[in-house]
Amino acid sequence: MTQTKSDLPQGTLDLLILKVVALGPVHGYAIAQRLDQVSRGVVQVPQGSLYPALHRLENRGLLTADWKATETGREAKFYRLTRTGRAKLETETAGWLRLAEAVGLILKLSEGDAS
Amino acid sequence: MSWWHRLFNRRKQDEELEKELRFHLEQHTSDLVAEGYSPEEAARRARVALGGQDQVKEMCRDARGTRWIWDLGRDLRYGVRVLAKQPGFTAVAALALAL
Repeated sequence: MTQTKSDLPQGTLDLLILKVVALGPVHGYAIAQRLDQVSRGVVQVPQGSLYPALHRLENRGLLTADWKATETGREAKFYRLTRTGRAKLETETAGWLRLAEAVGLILKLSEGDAS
Repeated sequence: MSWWHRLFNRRKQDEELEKELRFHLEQHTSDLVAEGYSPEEAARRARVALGGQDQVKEMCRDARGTRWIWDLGRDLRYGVRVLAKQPGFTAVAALALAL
């Protein structure tokens, strides 16, 4: 099943990363997979965008990270939200949903609608 | 790492980034092998999906935001080394401090 891949603006990618990480500590590869699976293939983050985004969010204090062993025995860098990150996720989500609703309303306008 | 740790631990950060990207490649490769690709083909596809590693590393370093401070620090240290090699520098510095 082919879907058109969406190119995400940076702010949107950041928001989606924060959301996935909010669900529990997770490493970069798992974040990419989760985004792909949940969005049914629409959101496929180029991995070259994912890691700079993660490092940017960590640098800004929205994420923090620890190295932990995985089931395979190898160590991976697990990210989790900071308190600031959680607050940011809430405000950005509310803003995004408000915007999406507004865009939807405008797009549903048809000719002859009262201005 | 706190921001000041990140400032002074560049080599450690680079090693960690390398380790992080390597883990990603290995995970992706083993998933592709599980899907039925040969190990070589899986490794190749995983590398392609990740993109040029040098480029990714460069972008991560830029994303850290401490880069300009690192460059400044390096420039300052270079400047001090050059000055210190010039004869009479120590004398002038001592004189300036004594005034």
